[in-house]
Amino acid sequence: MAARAVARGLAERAGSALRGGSRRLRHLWRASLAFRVVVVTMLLGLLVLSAVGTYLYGSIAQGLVDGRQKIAADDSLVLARDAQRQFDATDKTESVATLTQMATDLAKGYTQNARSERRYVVITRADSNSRPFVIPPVETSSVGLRYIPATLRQAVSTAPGRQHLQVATVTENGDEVSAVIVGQPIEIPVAGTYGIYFIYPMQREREIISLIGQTFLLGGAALIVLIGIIAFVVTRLVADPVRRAARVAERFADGHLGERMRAKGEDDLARLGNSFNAMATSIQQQIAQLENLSRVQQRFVSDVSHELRTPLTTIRMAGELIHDARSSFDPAVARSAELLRGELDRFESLLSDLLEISRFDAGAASLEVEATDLGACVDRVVASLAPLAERRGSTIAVREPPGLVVAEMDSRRIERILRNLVSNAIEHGDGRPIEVSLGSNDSAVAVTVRDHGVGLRPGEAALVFTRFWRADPARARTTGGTGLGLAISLEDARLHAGRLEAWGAPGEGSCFRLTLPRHAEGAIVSSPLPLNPLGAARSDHRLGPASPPRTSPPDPPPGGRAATVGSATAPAAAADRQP
Amino acid sequence: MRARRAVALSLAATVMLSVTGCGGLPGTSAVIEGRRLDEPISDPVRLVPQGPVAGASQEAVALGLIRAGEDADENRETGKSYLAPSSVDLWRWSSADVIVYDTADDLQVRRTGPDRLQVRTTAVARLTPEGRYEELRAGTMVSVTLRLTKVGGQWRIELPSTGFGLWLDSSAFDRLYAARQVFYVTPSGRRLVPDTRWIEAGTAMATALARAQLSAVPDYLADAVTTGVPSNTKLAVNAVPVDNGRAIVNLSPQALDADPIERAAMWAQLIATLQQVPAVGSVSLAVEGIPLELPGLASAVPSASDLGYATVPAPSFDTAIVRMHDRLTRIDPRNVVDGPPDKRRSTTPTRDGDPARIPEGWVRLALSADGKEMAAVGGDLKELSRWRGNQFLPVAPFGERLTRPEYDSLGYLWVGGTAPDGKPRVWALATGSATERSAPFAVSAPWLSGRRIDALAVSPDSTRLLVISSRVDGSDTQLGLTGVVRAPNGKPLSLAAPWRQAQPLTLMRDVTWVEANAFAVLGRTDQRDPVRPWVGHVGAGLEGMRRRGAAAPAESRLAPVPSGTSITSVGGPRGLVVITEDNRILARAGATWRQIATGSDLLVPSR
Repeated sequence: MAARAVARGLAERAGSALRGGSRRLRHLWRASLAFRVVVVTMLLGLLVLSAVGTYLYGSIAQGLVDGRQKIAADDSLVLARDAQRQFDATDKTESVATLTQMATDLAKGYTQNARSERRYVVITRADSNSRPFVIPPVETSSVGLRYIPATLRQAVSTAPGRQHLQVATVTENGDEVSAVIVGQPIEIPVAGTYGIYFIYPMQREREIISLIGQTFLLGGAALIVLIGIIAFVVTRLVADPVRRAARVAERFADGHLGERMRAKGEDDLARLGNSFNAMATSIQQQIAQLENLSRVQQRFVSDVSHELRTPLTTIRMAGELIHDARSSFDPAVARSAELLRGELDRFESLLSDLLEISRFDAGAASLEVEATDLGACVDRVVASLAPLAERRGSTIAVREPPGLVVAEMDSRRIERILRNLVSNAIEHGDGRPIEVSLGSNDSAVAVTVRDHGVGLRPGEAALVFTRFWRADPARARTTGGTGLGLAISLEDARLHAGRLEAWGAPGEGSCFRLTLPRHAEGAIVSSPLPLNPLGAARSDHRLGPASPPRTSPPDPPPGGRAATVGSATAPAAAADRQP
Repeated sequence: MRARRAVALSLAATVMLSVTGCGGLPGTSAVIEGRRLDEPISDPVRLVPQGPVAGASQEAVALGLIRAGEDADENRETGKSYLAPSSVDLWRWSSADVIVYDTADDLQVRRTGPDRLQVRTTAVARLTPEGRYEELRAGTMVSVTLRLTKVGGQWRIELPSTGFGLWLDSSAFDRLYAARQVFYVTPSGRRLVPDTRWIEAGTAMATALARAQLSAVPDYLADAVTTGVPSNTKLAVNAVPVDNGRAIVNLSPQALDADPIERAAMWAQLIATLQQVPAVGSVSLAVEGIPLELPGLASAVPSASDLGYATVPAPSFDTAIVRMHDRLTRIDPRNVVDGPPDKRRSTTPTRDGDPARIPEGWVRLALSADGKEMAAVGGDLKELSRWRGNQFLPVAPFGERLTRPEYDSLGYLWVGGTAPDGKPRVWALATGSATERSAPFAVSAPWLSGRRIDALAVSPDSTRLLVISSRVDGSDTQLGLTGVVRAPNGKPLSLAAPWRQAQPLTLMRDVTWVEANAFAVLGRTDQRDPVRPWVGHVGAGLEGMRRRGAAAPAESRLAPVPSGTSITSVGGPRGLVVITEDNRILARAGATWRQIATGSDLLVPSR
C-alpha cells in the first residue's frame, strides 16, 4: 500500500512536472518569436534532411545491390560454365556416388570463405527433372538449400536459357544478412538438369550502408543544430531591434513624447526606426500645437470671463436698483426688471462656472484635503436641497452604513459635486423619490444618487459629462443649469483621484456614483457601491447591512432584480445632464 | 487556417514516414533475369609482348616476332620492332592467313645459313582473311624461312617477299579471335540461318560483324538462303558505334533498294548478328544518317523475334523408338539406370500410329518429323520403303548403296546412294499423306562426281545438308556442308558447292545435327585413333582439337566407341546416342558412354 502510494506520488509529481514543462513551452511558444522561429526552422530542416537523406540512403543501397548483382552474375556465369564443362568432360558417371562426389568437389572448389568476400554453392535437382538417377542436394555450408527461394528454383526450372537472380536473407554464423542468390541450370550427365546456385552474402555492402547511415545521422544532427543556431542568430538580429522599437513605442504611448528609436545604417530596421522617429516628431509637434491652441482658448475663456465680471457687477448693481424700484414701474416694466434679475443670476453663475472650468483647464485648481465624514456632507447637501425637492414633489432618502464614512477630501468640492448630482436628480426625477446611498470599503468611499425619472437613452451615459451637452437639443438653454455642472464635478472627482460614473436606462431613471479613495495618496481597488441599481441586489451582501433611511420619505422602490439592464458607464467621460 | 496547417503537418509526417520506410539493403526481392547462358563473357585480358632486347640472338629475335603476334594492339608496334625497316610492310597480319598451332613448345627454329633461320610448327588450323576457319589434318607442318640482318648492331628480320601473317598458339588465338555468326534468311519463311565467321575480338567487333553481314551469301549457301541486304550495300561510315546499348548501323544508299520484306529481313539479320556483341542490346538502322524505319516498329528493335525471324533450334525428345530385330518399343532415352543396363524395362507406352514391327530385312530406319511415318532401306541397300502406321509403302528401285534415309522438316525424305549409271546421287522424295506413289527424284550435286555418299544429315531448319562422302575406294573421307536449293514450293533442286568441315578426321561413319549450327560425327583422326563421336561447330572446328583452357586438347574429347556405326541425338550435344555393331545403344554421360538399351536402331523424329 505504501509502495503504491509512493508510486502514485511519484507519478503525480512527474505528471505535474510534465504539465509544468509543457505549460512553460507553450508560454515560450507564444511569447518568444525567436523560440518559434528556431523550432519551426529545425522541424522543417529535419523534414527536408530526412526526406533527402532517406532518398539518398535508399539510392545508395540500391546501387550497392545492383553492383553486387552484376558482379555476382558475371562471376557465377564463369563458374557455372566451368562446372558445365567439367560435367561434360567427366568419365566418372557410372554411379550416383561418383557423380555426387564430383558435384561436391566442384561446389567446394567454388566456395569462397574470405572474410569480406564469401560465396556459397548449392547444387540441387531442378523441379522439372524427373529422372530416376538422383543426386542428393549438395551444399557447402549451413548457408545452403534452405535459403534458396522457391520462386528462384521455379524460375531456373521454367526458363533455363538465362541466369536468375534474387535477393534473400540468409543466416550466416547466427547473423542475418541479405544475400544475392544467382541460379542457373546445368546438365549433369545421366542425372539430368540441376540448378547450381551461388549465394553471395552482402556483408561488405551492409557495412558500407551502415557506415553511410551513421554518417547521415551524425551529419544530419549536426546540420539541424547548425540550422537552429543560424535561425536563432538571424532571429535575434531581427527581433532585438523590433523589441527595442516596441519598448520605445510603449514609452511614447505612455506620454514620453521625447522617446526616439536608434536608427543606424540603411537597412530595413533603420528605415523602420527613421519612419518611427519621423512619425513621433510629427505627433509631438501636432500635440504641442494642439496644446498651444487649447491653452490660448482656455486663456481666452478665462480672460473673457474675468473681463465680463466687472461690467457684470455694475450691471448687477444697476439691475438690483431697478429691481428694488419695480413697484413704482408700470407692470410690464416691473416684469422686465424681474426677468432681468433672473437672467443676471444665470449669467453670473455661468460666468463663475466658466471661471471654475478654466481654472481646471489651466491646472490651477488645488485641493485642500482633510479627513471628513462624507455622511455629513451628504446630510448638508440634502438639507440644503430639501426645499427644492419639496417643491418638485420628490422625497430624498439617504442610506448610510453605520458609523462614519471618513475619507480625506476637499469637502467644499465634494459638496459641490453632491449638490450638483442631487439637484440634477431632483430636476430630472419627475417628482419621484430620490435615493442617496453611501458606502465604504478598505480603499474607497462612495456615494450613489438614484432617481426614477425618464432615465438615459443607450449611449447617453457616456455623454452626460460633456460640456454644454443636452439630452434634448430642442430644449432651449433658458432653464436649468449652466451645462457645466457635471463637467466641473468630473474634474473635481478627478482632482481627488476619484471616479464619477453614470448609469441610466429609459424609464428606469438614472444613477450617478462618486467613488473617492479613502486616503489622498491611495488608489481605488473597487467601488463599495454598485453603479447599476438593477443589479445591486447581487452584490448587496458585499456592502454589508445598510441602515434604514434617516429621513422619512417613502421607501425607495426595489430595483428590478430580474430586469435586463441596458446600462452604460462613462467613468472617464465628462457630461452634464442638462436642461 | 488551423485546418490547413494540420493538413500540411500530417502531409509532411506522411512523406517523412513513407520515405523513412525505404532505406537500407533489401531483405528480399523479386526474381530478376540475369545474363543469357550463351552470352559471351568479355575477357579483358590483354597481353603486352616484349620487344627485342639488346644483343638478342637470331633465334630469340625470330621467336620474338612470332610471339609478338599475340599483341592486342591494333598496330602491333612491338612486333614491328623485330623487323628490318624494309620488311615492315611485308608483315600482313590482317590480310594474310593466321596459322594456329597448339603451344609455344611446338615452335622449332632451325638455322639454315649464317643469316637464315627456318621456323616450323605443327599447325592445327588456318584462318583466312575472310574469317573462315579451316582445321588441318593432324601433323600438318608449316614453316617459314626468315633472313636476319643487322640493324643498328642488332639482329632484325627480313621477311620473305611473299609476306608473312600471324602465327598464334591456340590460347592466343582464342583470346584474339571469336567465332560469331552472321545470319541469312530462308527464301520461304522467316527462318534465320547462321554462318560462322571468326572476328577479331575487341572494340571493333560490332563493325567487323556488320561488315561481314553486309557481304554476299557464301558459296556453300548460294541460292539456298537469301539476304535482305541489297548487293553492294556498304557501311556509310566505316564504324558501328554502340551508344548506350544501341548499335547504330549507318548504311550506304544502296540499302534503300530493299523492298519492305527485304528491309525487315535485313534488320532481323543485323540484330541477330550484332547482338552477339556483349554491349549491344538493340539495333537501329540508318541510311547515310537518316533513320531507316519499318512501319509499326520503333526505331531501335531489341530482337529479331520482334520482327518474326528466329533460328530453328534442334529439338529435344523425351522418348525414342528402339528397334530390336523386328520389334519396335518406345523408351525414355535419358533414363540411365544406376546399374547393369539389361535390367532396364521399357515403361514408356507406345503412341498411336507407331508401327509395331518392321521386318528384319529392312535396315537403317528413319522417323519422319511428325513421327507418323518411317522409312528404311533393304538389307542389300538397294531398296527404299516407307511405313505409315502399319501401312507398307514400297518405293520402286532407283539406286544402290543407299545411305540411311532422313526426313526433313518440310516433309521430304532424303537418301544418298549410287545411281544405276554408277554415279553418286542424292535423292529426295515427297512424303506425307497422298504421296503413296511418289517417286524419288535426284537432287543435282555435280561436285559429288567421282565420290560415293556414306551418310547425310539435314539441318533442323532444312536448309543445309551434311554429307559424308569418300572416294569410291573408301579413301579421302570428307564431310561437306551444303545448302539445299529449293523451288518456291519447297522441292529440293540442287545442292550448292560444299564447305568442308571436320578436316582432321580421316574416317567418318555417320553424322547428325545437334544444334542449329553444330553437328556430331562418328569418326577418327588416323589409324591409331579409335573411332569416337566428335562434336563440331560449323566453321569453328571440332571440340577436342584445340586446347580451350584444357591441359591437353585430347582431354576434352569424348570417350571412344570403336564399334559405333551410327549416331543420333535426343537433344543437343549432351543427348548424343551411339549405336554399335553389337546392337548396344549408348547414351552420352559426361565424356563417356552408358548403355541405355539394346537394339539396332534408335529413332527420333527427323534424325
